[in-house]
Amino acid sequence: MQTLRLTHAAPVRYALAFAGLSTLAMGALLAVIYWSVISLLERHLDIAIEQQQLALRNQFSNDGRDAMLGLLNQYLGDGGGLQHYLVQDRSGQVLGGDLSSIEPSLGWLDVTISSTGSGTDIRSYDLRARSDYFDEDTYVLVALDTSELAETSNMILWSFGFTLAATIAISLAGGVAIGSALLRRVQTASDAARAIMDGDLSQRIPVAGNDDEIDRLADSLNQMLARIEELMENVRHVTSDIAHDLRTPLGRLRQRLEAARLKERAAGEYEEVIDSAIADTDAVLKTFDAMLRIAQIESGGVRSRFARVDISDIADNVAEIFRPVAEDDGKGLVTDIETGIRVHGDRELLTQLLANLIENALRHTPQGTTVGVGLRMDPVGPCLVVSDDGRGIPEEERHQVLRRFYRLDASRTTPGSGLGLSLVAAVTKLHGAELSMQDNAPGLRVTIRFSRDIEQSTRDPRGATLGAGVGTTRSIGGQRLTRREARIRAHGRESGGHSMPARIEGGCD
Amino acid sequence: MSCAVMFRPENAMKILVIEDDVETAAYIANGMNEHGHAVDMAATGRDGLFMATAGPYDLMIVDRMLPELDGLSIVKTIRDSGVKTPVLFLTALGGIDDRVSGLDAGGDDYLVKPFAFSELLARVHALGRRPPMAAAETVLRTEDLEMDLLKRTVTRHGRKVDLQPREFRLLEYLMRHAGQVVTRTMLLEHVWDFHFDPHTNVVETHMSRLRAKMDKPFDTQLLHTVRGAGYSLHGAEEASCKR
Repeated sequence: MQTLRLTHAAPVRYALAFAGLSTLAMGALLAVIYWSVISLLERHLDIAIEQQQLALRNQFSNDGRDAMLGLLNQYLGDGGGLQHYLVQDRSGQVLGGDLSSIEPSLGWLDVTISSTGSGTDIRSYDLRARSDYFDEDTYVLVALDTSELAETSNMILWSFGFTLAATIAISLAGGVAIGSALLRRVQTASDAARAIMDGDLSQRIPVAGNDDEIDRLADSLNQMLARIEELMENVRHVTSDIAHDLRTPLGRLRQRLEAARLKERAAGEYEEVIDSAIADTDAVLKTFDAMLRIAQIESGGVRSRFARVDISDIADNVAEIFRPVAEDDGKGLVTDIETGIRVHGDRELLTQLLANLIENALRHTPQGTTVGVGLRMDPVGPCLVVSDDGRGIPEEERHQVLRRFYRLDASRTTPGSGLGLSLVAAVTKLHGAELSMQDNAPGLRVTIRFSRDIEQSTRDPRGATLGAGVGTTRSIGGQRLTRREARIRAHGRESGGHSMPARIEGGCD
Repeated sequence: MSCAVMFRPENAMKILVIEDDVETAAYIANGMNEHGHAVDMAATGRDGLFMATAGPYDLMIVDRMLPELDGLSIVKTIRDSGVKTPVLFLTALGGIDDRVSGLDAGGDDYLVKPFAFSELLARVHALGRRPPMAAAETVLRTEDLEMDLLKRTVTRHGRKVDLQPREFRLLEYLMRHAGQVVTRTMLLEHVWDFHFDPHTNVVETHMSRLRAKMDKPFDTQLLHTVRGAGYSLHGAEEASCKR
């Protein structure tokens, strides 16, 4: 197992960035608040100073300097130690107040002035002050102690600092907590993936069950894993099937060659042995060819060659080709093929699909069987049916016969590669069609439903023409016939001598 | 076997084989020599192209996968420069697309490896002795068998032979290759458009039906089965060399 470094894990990186950003924002907010509070307090201080100075100036101009000094002393008494005053004359002589003389300057001042008195009584104050000459010889300075303001400001800074620190701590801790929770889930997925790579294909990524993005991701991955497992299972099957199926003819070939070598023979006999050896080899090669072809079809590359092909024509043609084969075999082949049906596909492969289905029906049925080929346009799309009234396939085995090399016990002895229906299945899938097998009571009925071609939609299901000019004629024996006539004619000619097995006429269900 | 080929000196061909697999090339060359054809060999695409453009050949057998220059490009190039020599592609690719792309590039026929020599030989003869495509040719004749392509009628010894459209096509193909061997695969491809090998005896069935109509009622046999190779339509003088 691999340990993920926290700082390298994406969720933790995001948490760190988030903590940084929220700290920055919080810091800016606190700075604004601090600045507003402090300037408001300072403004209040200034207003108080201005009011006192105004009152003192009024007293001075109304009742003279002594009265003003009296008011000043009264203020000093009430001030609680926060208010400080200085009155001095031109020469710097202190006339009143509790501060020692300074070099006079006018207007607003932030100064540090020491108190009057001597020895240990002398204190020094940080002051906010406003000063003016009330007359040429009276310099008056009104001041307030700013130490309280400084204390308040300190307190605000402290609490703001604490808030900021808490913000950083919480967002970091939260980020790391969320991040490591995510990491744990990613880690479990990664562990599951590793177990799968080590060969345990049944492993799945655990789903937490809260239907979030990660669950959905796990779900998709699990579906993908299920598909992979299925494919691997197929590959395993096919590999062992190939081994089995090719071992048999190769073993037989070896036996024959060895037997021929055991004793002296005439040249003609050797030739015979060689001929049969070549035939055996050809059979093996044929199986390989069929496998390669199926693989190529399944890869889907052929789709680029798709064109609109007349599947009615193909069905007609292939049925005609196999009719004599069926007759020579003591079987019948009847058709009910609606003309002019087109699908988007590959002519060569559709021909082979139909040939395989017909051959399959011919090879696995007893004499006297009738094989039916039906094609019609259903509302949902073209539907191709190949049916017989032979032994049929037991329901539980119907799905299996599409597998490569699968053969029913009953047909083990008949020649064939066991690949015919696999190819049919592959071609069907390539064309986006659906294959199903039903009981034909008796016999087997294979149905292939194609999806509806857009251009086909101008016609109704039974082949009557709604849209004019959509391939309404076809030629039989050099004569031009309407489609319906052609269909009746073809049918009339083709079904002679044999009756349709049940449910061929019906086409798809 | 040599009888099936019906070798006549005037039919000897000069064949260019472009194939990089030494064993396959030797297999082809030996077989062709045995049947009286002269064979030149090229092991790379570049040499092959050079030889194809330099000397006149009656036929070329070209592998699709070659070092330096692939078979498709060789054939495209020589076709562009006006060389009309028939070309038969050989390939290890049994793909559905491969045949089409080979024919599109200017190839005349296509054979998938591994192949039976008889199959190759039959195809080589079918290509090499292709009669000059006379557009005016409307009647085919083999001995007393006559086919009118316009009226779509067949007569033998003056008597009308009734054939179904597919039987007509089959006989037409055989008559166009009269005196040659045509294989099962050639018939499947050209007569029925089957590019795969069916498991039932489709070819045999149709052949016996055709034979019943155009051979059985008459004294001499024209349609012959060539064991291990295919069929051949020919008259009495070739029939004498039956095995």
